[in-house]
Amino acid sequence: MIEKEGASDKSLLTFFYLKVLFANLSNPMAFISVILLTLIVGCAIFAPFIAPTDPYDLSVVSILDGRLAPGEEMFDGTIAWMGMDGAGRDVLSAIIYGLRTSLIVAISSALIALSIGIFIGLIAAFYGGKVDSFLMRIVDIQLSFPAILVALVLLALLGKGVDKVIIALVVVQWAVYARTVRAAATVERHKEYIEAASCLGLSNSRIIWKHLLPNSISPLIVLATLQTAHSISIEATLSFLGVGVPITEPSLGSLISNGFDFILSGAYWITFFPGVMLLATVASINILGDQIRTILNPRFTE
Amino acid sequence: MNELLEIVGLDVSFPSQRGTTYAVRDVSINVKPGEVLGVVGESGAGKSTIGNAVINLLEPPGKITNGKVLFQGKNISSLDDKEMRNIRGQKIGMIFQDPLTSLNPLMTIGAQLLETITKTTKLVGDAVFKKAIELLEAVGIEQPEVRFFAYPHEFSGGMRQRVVIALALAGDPDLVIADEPTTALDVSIQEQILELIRVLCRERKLGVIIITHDIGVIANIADRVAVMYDGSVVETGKVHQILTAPKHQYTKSLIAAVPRGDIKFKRFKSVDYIEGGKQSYKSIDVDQHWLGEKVRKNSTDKAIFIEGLNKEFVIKKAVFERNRVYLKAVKDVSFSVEEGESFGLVGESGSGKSTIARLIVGLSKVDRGSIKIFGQDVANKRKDQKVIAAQGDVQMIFQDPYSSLNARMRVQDIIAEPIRYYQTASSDSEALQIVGDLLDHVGLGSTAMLKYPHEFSGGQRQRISIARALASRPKILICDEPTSALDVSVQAHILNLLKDLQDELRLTMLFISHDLPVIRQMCDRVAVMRHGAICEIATTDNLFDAPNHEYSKHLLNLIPRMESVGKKELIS
Repeated sequence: MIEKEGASDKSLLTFFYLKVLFANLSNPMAFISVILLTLIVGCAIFAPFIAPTDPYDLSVVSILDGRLAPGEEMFDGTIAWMGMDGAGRDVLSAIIYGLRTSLIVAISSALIALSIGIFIGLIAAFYGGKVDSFLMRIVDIQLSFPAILVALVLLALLGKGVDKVIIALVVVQWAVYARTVRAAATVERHKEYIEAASCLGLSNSRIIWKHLLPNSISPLIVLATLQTAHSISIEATLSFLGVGVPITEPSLGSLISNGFDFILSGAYWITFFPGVMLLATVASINILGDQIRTILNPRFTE
Repeated sequence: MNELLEIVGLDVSFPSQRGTTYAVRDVSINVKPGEVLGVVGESGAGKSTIGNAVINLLEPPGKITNGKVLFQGKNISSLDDKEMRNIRGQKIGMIFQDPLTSLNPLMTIGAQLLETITKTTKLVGDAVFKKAIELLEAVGIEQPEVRFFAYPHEFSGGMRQRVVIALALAGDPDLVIADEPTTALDVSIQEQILELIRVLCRERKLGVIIITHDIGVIANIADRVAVMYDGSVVETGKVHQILTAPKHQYTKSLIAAVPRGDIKFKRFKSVDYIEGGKQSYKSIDVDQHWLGEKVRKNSTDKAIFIEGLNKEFVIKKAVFERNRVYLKAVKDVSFSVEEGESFGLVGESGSGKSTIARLIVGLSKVDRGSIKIFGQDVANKRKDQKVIAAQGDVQMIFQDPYSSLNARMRVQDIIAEPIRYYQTASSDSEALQIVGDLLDHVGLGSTAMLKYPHEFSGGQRQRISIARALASRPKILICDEPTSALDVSVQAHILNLLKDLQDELRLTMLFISHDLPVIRQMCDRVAVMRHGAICEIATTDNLFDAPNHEYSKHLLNLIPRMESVGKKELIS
């Protein structure tokens, strides 16, 4: 009688489609971005084994190697493929270690913000009315400030440190997740299976976590990917401005900033290579996010 | 007479990676000018695909793989897009199911008419306007000069459908294809729209193809009918012949499954031809089984006792009380249901019948009045332990089988949820055992346990819903339009199942429906509702044979009657 498309069935297959993405990489862009991302994450995880030198180890850093151009031989005879920075650290090694810091900050802040956002969004959608208005106005206020401004102010108050940067990134990002979850959950909230669950006399928390949550999170898969890329750039910006991670634990942003003093004197590589790495990381995550979006959206699939 | 439209051996296929599916197979039908051809069939029978194939609007990747569509003797299935566009609108008009989505909400209906008329005819200037007014008049819109400047949202559903018909007629077509033109409308409006189509067809010598799932509509309007099953036409003939003396087994099953308003049967005739017909129903010895374990107090209290029930919804919010606008959804409703009785609530959309159901199960809060379930007032205190227990005795079956099951849970977890939550079974393996029994009991079989809801059809999902409701061992079952989203044959199965369950488990049932024949088959007593108030409460037989209230009479008159079949033929 009424012929319906199984819209909810489509989202049920979310994880199946993720598998499809990796199995069936017919799109060259997706293929490149997945390969690149795997390489980047691999480098970050296995940094101590891959990096030619340990940029934190002051005993191997020699000021005599300062500002060697890419490809030149170091004092001890090894080749510095990406040159040396002003203090005589190997740029390649610094990038590999910097990636680590950048990814840890981005991924952990995304996960924390995601959890907070899901919680607030589900509460707002489930209870509706005044609770919803109150929570969503907080979200509105939060989103009306430029992210970088909020992060700057917070870091000025909290001080430097990886943990502080993560806190600042969570504060600027949770609202985005909360709003998205709330939108998806509000639609689900009014479906009959939620009503059926309350007819069975289930407690609110059980309905929220067992029924509402699994049906509301599929839009977040895409959002979380894109937001991770976003937080890498915010973190880089903060570090560039000198309020992010301390120089003893360099991230991509602080490496770029570090080389900025030398760029006019011709030592472009200290800034250039970390910049390229940042671009590659952010771009490959973004492309991956777009691909997942395309795959999850039934309208795009042919 | 020459044929207006002739479809010869039409095949429509949808190629996909998993092989080609044929939506339509070897279909041959024809329509003469001034004739109404009904195409009837259940969902997935391919009836809409035929309509789309004629005007070449098949959704890709669907395409015509075989056969011809001859329109006024010319093969139109091979025309290109541009030539086809000239035929659509000018020669063939379309009427769609949902009048809300087939009109542009940002344009006045006048502007939409003018646009269509200039596109499809050679008229210019004032003549276009004149023609538009004429059309609006012809489809029965009062004060066309005023309504011309109104937007679609200012019209009711029936009026909107009239506008859609006016648009379809704008190019003076010779053939009109109406795809489920009245499915989204109330019965009383349905009658008017069908009447309008009938009159227009006769006056303008139009050929009309009506595509519908509703045999009542066919009985009402069509001259000839083609019955479709699984992509093929199984039987074609005069309406009278098909309805009274069907030849094909499927047609027989289909007609037997339509609930009748005139006679009450104990059960629906079993419809074996259709998928799902062979499902075995396994009965359970209730006295021995877990289902019967819950102690039944033989109380003298009425199962449901409702007095002076009121519910208002705020439709316009405002800070000050006096500026708010309320909609009275339920007005001073009082009725009671005896234990073991099945009580019907019937009315058109917006009459407040579903609101009452939601109030009883506690999904909405009562404004004024009382609801007593076996003597326990559940209307006002929600947190009370006794109230929760009383409400546990009431379970609800919802209308839409597609949204009433959590898509992320396995069937066994869906059904076991109340058992696990209240720990009514001694162990989890016993809970799963019970789930298996319940699934057997509702005719799905315990093999369904590990599947997800999307693997089931609408009727099967409704069975899962029923099993879930039974898992909390209710004494009262509230069915809110449980079959209105289902095909007739599936509806017959579900209604039979509900009847069996009621007998076996001695359930009290509150049955809500807009469909009078269904009510007649299912209920002992009925309340007729209109605008939130009850017009009449009577035993079903009394109501159908001798209605007291004007509105009840009006509703009863609107039931498409199988007996009236052929009346139209006698007139013309």
